[in-house]
Amino acid sequence: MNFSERLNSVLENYLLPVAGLIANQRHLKSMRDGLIYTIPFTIMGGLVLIVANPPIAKDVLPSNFFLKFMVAWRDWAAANAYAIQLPFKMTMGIMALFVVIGVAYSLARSYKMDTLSASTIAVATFLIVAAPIKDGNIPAGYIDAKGIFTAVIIGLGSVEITRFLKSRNITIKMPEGVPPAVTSSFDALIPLGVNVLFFYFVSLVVQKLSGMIVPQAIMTILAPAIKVVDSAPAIFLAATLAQLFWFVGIHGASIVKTGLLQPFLDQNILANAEAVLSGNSLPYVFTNPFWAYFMVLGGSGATLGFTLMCVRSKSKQLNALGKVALLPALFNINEPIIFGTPMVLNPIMFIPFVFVQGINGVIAFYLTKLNFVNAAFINVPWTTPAPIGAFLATMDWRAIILVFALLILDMVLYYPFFKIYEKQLIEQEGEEEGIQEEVV
Amino acid sequence: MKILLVCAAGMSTSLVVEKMKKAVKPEYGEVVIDAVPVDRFEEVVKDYDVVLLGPQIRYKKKDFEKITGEFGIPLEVINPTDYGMVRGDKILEQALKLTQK
Repeated sequence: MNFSERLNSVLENYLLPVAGLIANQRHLKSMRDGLIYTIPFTIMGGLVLIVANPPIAKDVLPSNFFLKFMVAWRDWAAANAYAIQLPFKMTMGIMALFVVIGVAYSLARSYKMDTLSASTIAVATFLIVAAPIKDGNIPAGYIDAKGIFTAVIIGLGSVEITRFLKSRNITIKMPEGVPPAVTSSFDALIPLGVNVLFFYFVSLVVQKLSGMIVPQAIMTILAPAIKVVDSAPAIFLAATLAQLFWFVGIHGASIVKTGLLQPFLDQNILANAEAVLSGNSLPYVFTNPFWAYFMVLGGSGATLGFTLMCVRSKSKQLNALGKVALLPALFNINEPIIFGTPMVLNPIMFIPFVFVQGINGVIAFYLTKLNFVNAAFINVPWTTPAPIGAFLATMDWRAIILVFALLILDMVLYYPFFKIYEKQLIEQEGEEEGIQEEVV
Repeated sequence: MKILLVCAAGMSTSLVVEKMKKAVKPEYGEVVIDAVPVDRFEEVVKDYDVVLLGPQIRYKKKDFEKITGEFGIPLEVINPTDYGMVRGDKILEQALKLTQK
């Protein structure tokens, strides 16, 4: 067995089952699908944030035409802050509410249960736990970023309770002769009652014991985990793991990032967005845009630099590939590069393909921490070209410079491996041509 | 003949679909080719004659085969090299061969 066959068998025997497990585990999948439903809300909220926060400092004076426009925008946004921010507050500002709906809906759908009643029961249960009404107002303090984890738990938990009751056939028994339609209209009553009472009871106990409401307690428990995820080692590890999956040709980002880290990343960017609105410094670095534009620059493995080198390669294969792959790569799609180079199971490309993305992450992490570039607070669709996406997500022009600096770094890091591989391909291509000429 | 391509987000596969459509010849009859992200597979699969998976989600194969098995729809993972080079004609051939089995 040669190197790549051995690697293939080892990674495929261990990574493939793990990937399948994470991808198919019902609750993780429902969490992921539920969070996906909320993406339009975060983008809508993000657009509002752009309008509300023109990228211009507070002390800039209108000295030329462009600055006049920016200053006018800034002053208008400040004067109408409440009105402009309201659509944000009613989308991203109550995000956990959409998360609980999405998660309960997804899990109920996977069990082929009634999705509407599952979602509504979950909302009622979640509000009791996270936003107990007071003086006619529902407090929004814990249905924002701070409520996301609670929303996931309640979304999954309430559907499981309902399913348990159904499986034990615990329903309201109607005497014979009552029309079935009437009976079924009572079907949701017991699950609703049990869920509300159960979580209300849990909530009261938690409040009694800790003096905190449930989402507050959950955030306290999760605080160390949130802190660990938002760190350079975790970013490097996540990137490397994702790329190990990709190296055997499976979609690593959808397993490691979307599959496991998504609630953390969503929590982080929401908390950042809220911090911007309240004028605080941004608490988190690791977000979706951070991953999309700084780490997976040009697609998984940070291959944009490699793609550019392919376009100018003397190897016919790499040159043809570069032409096919360049345009998608600008939109962060690089399956052509991954399977066409191929990066998959290619021992020469192993080192850059697996590690460069993590290196990008660590560098961008520290530069953000040191305030060389703002943290992202706006969710931008990941298919936006990196310089534009990075700018829109951070509202900081220095993010564009960082993208280009990382691009150059990635080219340097990929270059030696690219050269070795290119040389090998050119030799092969030469041999093939020689053979063809002999045949002719 | 209706061909369904599935990948993680439906993005890279839509690239392949464009190339496949260009490779369709009149003698193939009417060919419909669509790409969907992996989470929509279950909703739409029964309307198709053949399913091709992007190689990056081949860990889904077993799971999906349970569903396609019920409907008797053939399913295969796209040849990774063809997928990478976006060879629409080769992938279309793969799909056509599958239906003839």
